[in-house]
Amino acid sequence: MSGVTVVWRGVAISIPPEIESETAEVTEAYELASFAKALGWTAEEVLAERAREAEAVAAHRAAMASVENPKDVPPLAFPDLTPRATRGGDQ
Amino acid sequence: MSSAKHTEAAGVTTKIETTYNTDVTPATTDAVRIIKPFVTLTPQWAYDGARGIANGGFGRHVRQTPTGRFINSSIRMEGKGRGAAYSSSAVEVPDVHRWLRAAGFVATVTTTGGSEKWDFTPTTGTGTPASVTSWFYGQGELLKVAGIYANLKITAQNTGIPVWEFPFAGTMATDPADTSLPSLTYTVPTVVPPTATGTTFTLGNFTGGVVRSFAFDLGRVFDTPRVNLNSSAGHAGFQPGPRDPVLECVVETTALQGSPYHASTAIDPYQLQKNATSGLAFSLVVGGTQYNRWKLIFTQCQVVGVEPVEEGSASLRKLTIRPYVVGDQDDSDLIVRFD
Repeated sequence: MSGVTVVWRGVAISIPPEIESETAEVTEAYELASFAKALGWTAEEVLAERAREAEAVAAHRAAMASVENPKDVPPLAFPDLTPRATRGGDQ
Repeated sequence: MSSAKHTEAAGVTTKIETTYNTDVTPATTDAVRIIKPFVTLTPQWAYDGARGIANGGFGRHVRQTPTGRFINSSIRMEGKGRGAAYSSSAVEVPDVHRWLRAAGFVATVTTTGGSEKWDFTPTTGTGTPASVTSWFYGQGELLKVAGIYANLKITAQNTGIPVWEFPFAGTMATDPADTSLPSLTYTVPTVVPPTATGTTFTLGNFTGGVVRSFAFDLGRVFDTPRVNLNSSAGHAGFQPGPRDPVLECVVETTALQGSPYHASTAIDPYQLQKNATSGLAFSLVVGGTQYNRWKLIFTQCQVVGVEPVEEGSASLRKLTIRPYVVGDQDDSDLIVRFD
């Protein structure tokens, strides 16, 4: 059976079917570990970046809601993440 | 006092299989919300037990027991979004998610903040299509069906909520059992599905059409039986095959647009068909609220049919549109997106 692909900031990981059929907590833990591994980060770093991203989204939505024309607010965009292993210098 | 069985106590649970045609025991939390008419499953048999006409007579011999039980039916749902960001693979699209997988779609979730979405694209010819087990509760009985592959049809006959229909086939190893409808846990039951009103319709440059209705059919072959003599069940499930997606939409007739034959408020479907004009992008966007909208996208398509339709005094055209792939081993023809 084919699984599910998860893409976050340009990085793609696969969830195998045996994990997919587990509980939400198990699949989310697997996702977190897979992104950390793919990026060469720690799980805490992935969580911190996700939290920062969620804050930016919330701030952007608040900005959109507070102006008359939401088109005046520049669109929100996050850069794709580069795996640390290929970035060099900060291993 | 027991009361008569009735049709309203109906429900379905569905789960992705890890091994094809092996019941994965869907839980009450795996419920998908179906709409009327509820599924009425008729068990069918690969061999129905008939033994033919008596020699030297006109009567029929006693039957052998039938073998190879299967179900070939259809299930209907409403399409809606989660009402909240698709922040991980565990945050599935309500109801239709697993049935889209059964209909041969690969699921990709994008979890980047603010741009969260689920994209369902066709499984490649070399990929392994997903299958599901579904337990159907209805009329006081439980029917367990495994090894399910499906097709997908989406229909909007009016401005109401479009209907998502999944014709399917699967095997039925377990006998029906008297079972009351359990307490099923549905995903975001408070999110109301979007209607077809306000659908954003795009065919090439043609975006201002007055659209009466649309009907999409994935055209997937899903019910080629795999009869198995080397099994007491007599049935190893089904083999899905190719797709032949087609969309029929009824639009009010416009002035016949000159080359390139599609403009914002006018179209010449005759010329588009005659020239087999390729590279037309098509999309339908149903719902205007982020996280509660869905899109049917043909990356590239052609108009392959035009049929005049009269509705009272209104002049209409039924356009037949087919997406296509751009090479062998390509699956870029269509996307079903929830974002």
